[in-house]
Amino acid sequence: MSDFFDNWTVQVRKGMLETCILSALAHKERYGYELVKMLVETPGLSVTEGTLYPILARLRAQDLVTTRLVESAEGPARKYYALTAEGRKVLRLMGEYLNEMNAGERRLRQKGASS
Amino acid sequence: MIEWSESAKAELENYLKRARLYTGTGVDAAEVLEDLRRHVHEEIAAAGIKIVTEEDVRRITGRLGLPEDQAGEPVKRPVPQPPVQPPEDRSGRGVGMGFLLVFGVILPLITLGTEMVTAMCAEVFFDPIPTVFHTLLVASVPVVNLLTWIALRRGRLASRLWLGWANGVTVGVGIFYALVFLPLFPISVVAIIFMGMGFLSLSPLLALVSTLLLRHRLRTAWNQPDAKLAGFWRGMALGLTAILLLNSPVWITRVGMKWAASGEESVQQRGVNWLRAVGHEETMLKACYGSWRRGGAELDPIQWIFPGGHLSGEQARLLFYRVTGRAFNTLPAPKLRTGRGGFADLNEWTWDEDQGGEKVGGRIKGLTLHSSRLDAVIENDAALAYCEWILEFKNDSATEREARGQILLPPDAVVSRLTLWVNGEEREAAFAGRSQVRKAYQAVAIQQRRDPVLVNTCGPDRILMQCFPVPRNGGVMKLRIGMTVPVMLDDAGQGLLRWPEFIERNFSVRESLRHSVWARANSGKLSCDLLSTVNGQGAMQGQLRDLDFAKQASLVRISRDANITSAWSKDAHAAQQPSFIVQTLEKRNQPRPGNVILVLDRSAAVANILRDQAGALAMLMTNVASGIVVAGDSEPRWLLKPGDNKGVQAKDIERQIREVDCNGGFDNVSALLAACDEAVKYTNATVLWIHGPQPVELSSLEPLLQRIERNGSDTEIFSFQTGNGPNLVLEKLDGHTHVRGVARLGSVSEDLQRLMASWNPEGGGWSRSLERRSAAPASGAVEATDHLTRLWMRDELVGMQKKRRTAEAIPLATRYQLVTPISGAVVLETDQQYRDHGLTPSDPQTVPVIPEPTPFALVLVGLVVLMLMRRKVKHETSHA
Repeated sequence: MSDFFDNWTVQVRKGMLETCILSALAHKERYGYELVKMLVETPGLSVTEGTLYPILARLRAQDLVTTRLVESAEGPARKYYALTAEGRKVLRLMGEYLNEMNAGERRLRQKGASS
Repeated sequence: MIEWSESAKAELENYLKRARLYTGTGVDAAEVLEDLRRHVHEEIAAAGIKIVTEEDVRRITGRLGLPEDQAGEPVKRPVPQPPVQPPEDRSGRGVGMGFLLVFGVILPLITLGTEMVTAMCAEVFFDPIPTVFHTLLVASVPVVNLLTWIALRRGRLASRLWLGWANGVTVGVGIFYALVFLPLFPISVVAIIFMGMGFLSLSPLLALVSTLLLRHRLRTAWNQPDAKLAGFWRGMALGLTAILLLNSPVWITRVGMKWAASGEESVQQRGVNWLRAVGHEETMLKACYGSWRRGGAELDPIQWIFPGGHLSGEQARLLFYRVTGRAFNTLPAPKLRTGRGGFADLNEWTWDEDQGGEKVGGRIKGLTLHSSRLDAVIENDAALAYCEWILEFKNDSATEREARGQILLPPDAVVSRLTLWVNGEEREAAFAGRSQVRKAYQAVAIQQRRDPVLVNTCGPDRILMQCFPVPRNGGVMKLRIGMTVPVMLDDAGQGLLRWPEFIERNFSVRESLRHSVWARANSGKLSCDLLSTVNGQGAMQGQLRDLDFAKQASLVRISRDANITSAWSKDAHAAQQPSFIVQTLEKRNQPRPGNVILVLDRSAAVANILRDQAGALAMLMTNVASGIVVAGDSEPRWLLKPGDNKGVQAKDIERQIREVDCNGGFDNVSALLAACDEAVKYTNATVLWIHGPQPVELSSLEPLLQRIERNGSDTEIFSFQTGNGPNLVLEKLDGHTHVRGVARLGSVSEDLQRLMASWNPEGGGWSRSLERRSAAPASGAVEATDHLTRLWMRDELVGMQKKRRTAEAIPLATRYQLVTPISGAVVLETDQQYRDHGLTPSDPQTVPVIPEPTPFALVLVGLVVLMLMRRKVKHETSHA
């Protein structure tokens, strides 16, 4: 039972990781370290920092996010990530899809309870 | 500043190496590794770690973890690897980076700065940074190297792409300059070994090596030995192309000059045509002023790869005329980049290869006309004038200089006085045969380096003046040229006086310089558009710019009593006394020439004239001319051959003249020769040569001289020069009495009409005849000064020269103190020098002068002053 749940959460996490990254950038651009720390601290995601950078690179390669380097007085230059127009559109579609799925799952649960 | 231990660095590299193997497909591995590296650095900075240990890195990378395949892509799980030792100096840190900073950045910057300030290389070898764009390209090498170096130090992989390209471009620039400085390599090595200096000339080579090493490091940084770095070949091609394009005016011109120097005529012509189309004037001008001199060498790799085609200064001057149609010395030597302070003085140095010679040569830096004063007294009724030109030359250079200039005299004028100020005292010239005075000048000026001045003729109405030495460091040399001038009569009641002017010079005339001009008539009125009246209308004065002399507005119009047609003067030099020279002015009754053959120059200087005056020339053709021949590069071209002109319309001729392609400079000799050969077929034939300046001898004049000397009595050549400038053909024809200059008193159109009128038996101009008599005319004639005698003698000498009685003529020229084609004038510094050269200086009592105010005038002025003083005394007494 426990193994089953673990595998399920891995699958859900995989599906949700990119959504969470795009959501974290929905309102403002963030630099990589800040973004990664934010996501790592998000309950339920339980990812390591090393895992996030390839995803960020892939999202950039797919033109969903853009990056720019900004000099920093506190350390190395910061790489800022921001959503592209395409990224915003995908995030909106993802949100709609998830809402629809959640609603469908809720309906199924309510029907099951009433029947 | 955070310090990393070596083991910490090694741990990070190990982690990144492992992470690379875990990075899935579809992502840029380099980017992910760069992000991870940055993350580690941020962790360390956030944690406030000052000294990073292996443990710190391990702790952070342990928390980071390795990238997992989140996209479900299959990732090749690696076989566990033993810890990898950090590759030596691949992260932009290490001893080698110091070498790259010194030789790739600091030394090139010092070299560039030194060259910009001192122009050391430009002074001695060639100018490596002749333009701002060259400087920017050279500066790009250390700048790009520095940026690459910083990127390697900071580990900024994101700038890798553009740095790759920039590095490629600078490799191209570096290769060019390393090649340029390669010939200096042995000298530099010797200088370093024995004197510990010479790194500057090695700088391009060392910078190129550094640039290539930096590229290698950039490529292999972050443990990506196989990763390609974009932009090497294309960047290098871009850099080389940029530098070749910057130098293109030079090498394109050099290619043309190389062809033009060929012994094969067709190749030579191809070179001239090429240069006329795309030649760079400054490059050709540098060759004219001597490519051997400092800064003369060009950044021209093509010249180095394919050497040859070097032109001597003389060849370059010929070519410059053929290409541009101008004399090279109408332009000063090109400005060269020079250093500051003491180095700047070197730029003021010019080698004067024509010193003491018969050519004016190139402009000398620092030598200027300091002041110029023209005084003229005019005898209105005798239609005579005497004009003195006092010139001061100043030499601001550090070397003694010779001032040389060709002066265009007023029509038919003759030099009758030459004075030099030596230590503030006036010394008069000795007049003698032209070879004798030149020999004395060269001996005193060039060998003894003392103060002489020489004046000889160099063509119709032209003299060559030269004086040496104008003292260095601001020294001034002052001289005076006096000339006896026959006033040209426009009609019986009006004469014209044109001022002398320089038509070629080796000194500069500043924009601000004004020629101070004064003229006084002994009777009647004067008028001139550019001068103001003084003392009623008897005198005029003003300040004229150098360019004003070429303007019609500078002509002085002289009103005279139209009824006076005779003047006389006592000839004090005659062996038999009493002796009088009598001048008679009469309407010319010259027969119209039977055949006139028009010779048209094709050089750029006459382009506007041929276009604007095509109608007038066509009319001339239909009225008096029978043939038109145009100068060409090799063969002249007949627009209309004598005998073929029946039924030819004036408009057709006008169109043909208008269509003559004037571009560059052409040799007029072959066209003159063709015209003379045609003219000799007819009786009473005349050649009218309409031309611009021709400052060089492009072909031998011997065939032309042969025609003139052998058939001269049948053919006259009228030289009509459209604009001022030297003309070597006329210089060579100096003394040949069948070659006559057409007096330029107005516009081309007016002077052509004046010439045509003179060929009209009814409407001809005025002529002057001079003869010696034993008694003065009884009445109606005015007494003139002895300038009348000088003009008579000048005519006599021309006649004697015509009859080849030169030996007899020279003593007469000496006695009457005249500069003619057979005689010259020289001023030497001491009496001993005169004696050494068998010369006798003119007696100051016998030289012509501008008369001071007459005693009567002085008495009158004295009386006026006395009266004013008396009135003042009376006025003061009455107030007391």
